[in-house]
This record gives sequence, structure tokens and C-alpha cells, in this order.
Amino acid sequence: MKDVYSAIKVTDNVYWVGAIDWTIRDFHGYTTPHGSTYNAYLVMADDITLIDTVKAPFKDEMLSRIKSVVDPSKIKYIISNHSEMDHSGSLSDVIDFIKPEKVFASAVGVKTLKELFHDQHEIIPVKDGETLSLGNMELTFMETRMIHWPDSMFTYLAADELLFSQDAFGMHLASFERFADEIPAATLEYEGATYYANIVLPYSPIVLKALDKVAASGLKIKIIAPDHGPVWRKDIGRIIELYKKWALQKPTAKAVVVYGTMWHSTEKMAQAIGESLAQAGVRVKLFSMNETHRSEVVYEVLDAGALIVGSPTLNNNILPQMADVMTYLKGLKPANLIGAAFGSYGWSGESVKHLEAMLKEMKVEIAAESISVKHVPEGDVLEKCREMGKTIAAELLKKTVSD
Amino acid sequence: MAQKREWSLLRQKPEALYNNHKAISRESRNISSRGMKELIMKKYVCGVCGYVYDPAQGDKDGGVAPGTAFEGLPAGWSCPVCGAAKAEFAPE
Repeated sequence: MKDVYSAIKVTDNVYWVGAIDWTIRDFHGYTTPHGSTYNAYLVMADDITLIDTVKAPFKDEMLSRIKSVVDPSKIKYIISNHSEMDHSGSLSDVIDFIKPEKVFASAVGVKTLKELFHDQHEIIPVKDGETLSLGNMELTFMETRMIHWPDSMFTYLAADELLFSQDAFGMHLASFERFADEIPAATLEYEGATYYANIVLPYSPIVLKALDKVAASGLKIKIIAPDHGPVWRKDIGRIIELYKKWALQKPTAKAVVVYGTMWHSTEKMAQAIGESLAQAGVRVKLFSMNETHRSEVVYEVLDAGALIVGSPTLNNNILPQMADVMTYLKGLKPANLIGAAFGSYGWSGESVKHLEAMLKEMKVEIAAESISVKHVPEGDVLEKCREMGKTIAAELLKKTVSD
Repeated sequence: MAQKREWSLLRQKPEALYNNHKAISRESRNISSRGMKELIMKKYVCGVCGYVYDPAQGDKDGGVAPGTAFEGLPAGWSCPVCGAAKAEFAPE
């Protein structure tokens, strides 16, 4: 049978030989409604090199794309920039099939790959700044620990001024378009920001340092080839600027109101808070966690300045869907937020206390006194909610420049 | 040799002996305070993510005051970047 898959040429020397996953909808809790790609790249140097591999079930798709360019047994080196299974799941089998002369990863990557696959393959550690000659070309390795795993590294191909950036600058977007310039800018910004918020956000201080490090290295970069989503070959400055913006998390005059509700009492409070925030000139997003996925909330929080959270009390606690999003948010460490808590209750009313403690743990600055109401809120309580909105809006507008 | 030096010390005048002792203790005091300072100011690197704990800075978000030696960090303290345990750290 003739293979249906083909490689896509990125430069005269580099081919995309990854896989398109049109069906994946979940990455460890991050919902991916538009699928993803697992990017692998073939460098057709004197010493042919494969940069990263794909998730295990996509091995044949990758090998098939490689075959459209070269006999896979001609591959001399494999580089693993990132050990996570969506890039390394097929590595062990691919090594057995291709039998490359050498396989390289960062020092932490070598350890991680052993811990993941417990196989006998020798993987050679490379240091930050180390180079590898491919005969007529040269690769340079750059450690990028915690962007977004301890093993992560970039590989730079000077001949094409091309940076293989593993998960950085990537996005979960399945498409036949292989280049960012073939995809609408708004789609790129939305998918890129969603990816950043759900994957990279906790390591923002490291992202800023890495951007400085790349700038200071004087490396000329014309093309950025990440491990998910499209390749950046035109205006790479745009995605770098966006990364800077997302990493800085400068708060804007935008509030995200996140709540769960049992019998619509907490929802009424959320709406009153949202209305008054909007009237005061703040952009507002309201999310009922009864209906919303946590990934969407984090995307909205990325450029927000306020996070206001509500839950009724259920069995002396908060609603499980609120515990879900609060746990997720806490791990992703959004910064520079102000906030407050609200909620209804039937008899004991602990939810607001729990929510406020969670906000404090997340280093959200409490900007208004929390509000709790027994059963259904009426005029005076809703007025208090409107006051909360006003107070937070005033604080937020004071903190943020107009946007 | 050591014995010979001790005999020679006995031949010194009492003031000389006293001054000599003072110099030695001053020197040892200096060494120990320098040693202590080095110990306190020693930076430790997280073996997982590469974060460097600098005692001069402390860890503000973790509630650790500047000037706290790595050894003085509470047992439950963890890397502010990746959350790795104290045991993952090694001297820089």
C-alpha cells in the first residue's frame, strides 16, 4: 500500500515529519477542542537528524512522512528536546526501527527518558551551549529548564537560523496548514494564549529570563519550529512579543467572575457583581462552572486584573466544580490579581471562608469584603454585591493603565 | 618538629607567650567567623529546575527572611519555582 502521508518542506534542509491529531480533546485536564499536532523535524544535513518524535499511536504516520523524504535507516542522530510522552512516546520503538548512531537529550532529559521507558537505549546528555556537528551544518543546544518540564531544551540550526523550540511558542491546533502565516492571526493569538495559560503560565518568570537569554546569545532566529501547532516563519517578532506580554501578566481592566451555583442564588450574586463592574467601565467575563471548562477560565484570567469567585456551601464546603477550577488556577499561578469571594448557603455558610483562603493562597489581593447570603439574595444583598463590583472596579482602574 | 616548637615556646618570655596566644586565638576567631559567614551565605541549586536559593535574598513568597541559611530553612520548605523538596538541592 502506498503511504498517504507526506513530509512538508520548512526550508531547503528541514522537513516537518510530525503527525496531526484531529481527535484529541483533552491534555491532562486542558481541553483541546481543536485537536493538536505532534511536530517532528527532519534535518537533511550530511548527518541526517530527527528532532523529536511523536505520541506513540502516531509513530507510523511520522515514519511514513520521513519515508517520503529519505529512507529512515539513513537517520544518524535523534534529538529529544522534551521528554513528555506526546513527543517521546514513540521514541523507544523509533530507535529500534531506525537504529540511529546516537540519541541526544539534556542531562535531565536522559534521566527522565529512563524513568519513563525503562529501556536499554543509550541516550547521550548534552550541555547548555554544546554543539553537534552534522557535517555540513551544526546544531546548538540550549537548556530551557521548566519551559515547561525540567528536561526541556531548545535546539538551534544556525544554517537556517531556525530554532526548534519544543513546547514553547506552540499551540494545540490541528491543521493541514503547517505555517502560522497561513492561519488567521486571531486564531493564532487565541490558541497561543490558551496554550500559554494552560501549560506555560506557572513558569512565566523563567520565560522572561529565557527570552533575555536568547536575545543576549545574539543567535539570529528567522524561523521558530515548535512541537505543537504551526511553524513561525514570518514575523516571529509577533509571537515573541506575545510571549513577553503573557509572561509579564500586566493586569488589565478586566475582571473574571467564576462561580458555581445550586439553585441560582450564587448566580444572582455573580450577575449583580458583573453588572456593576461593567457599569464602572471594566471588561467582565462571567463563568458558571456548572457549564464551563476550566481551560477557558484560565485563558480569560491570563490578561485579567481581578478574579472574583463564588460558591454556595455544599456539606460545609464549596461546590466540587469550584474546587476543580480553584485547584487548577492555583497550580497555574496567575499573578497580579485582586479579588473577592461570595456565595449563598442554607445553614452553615463555610464556602466564602474557604474561597477567600484559597484566593489568599494564590496571592490574590483581597480587595473587597466577602459576601454570603442565606438562601436566595434579595435587594439589600444584591446591593451589597453591586457595591463589591464598584469597589473592585475602582481598585482595578486605579491599578491599570487604560487598555 | 612539633615538640621542638613547644620547647622553644617555653623559652619565650611570658609577654611574648601571651601575645602569641592572642594572635593565634584572634586568627582562629577570624577563620571561624569567616567560615560561618561562608556557610550562611552558601547558595544552593535546585537539582530539578535550576532555581538558586540565595540566603541573602531569602524566599519572600515562601515567608523566608533574607539572611536565612539554606540549613535554616524549614523541613517542609520547597523550591518556589518547581516545588521540589529541600533534599533535591545541592551547594552551588
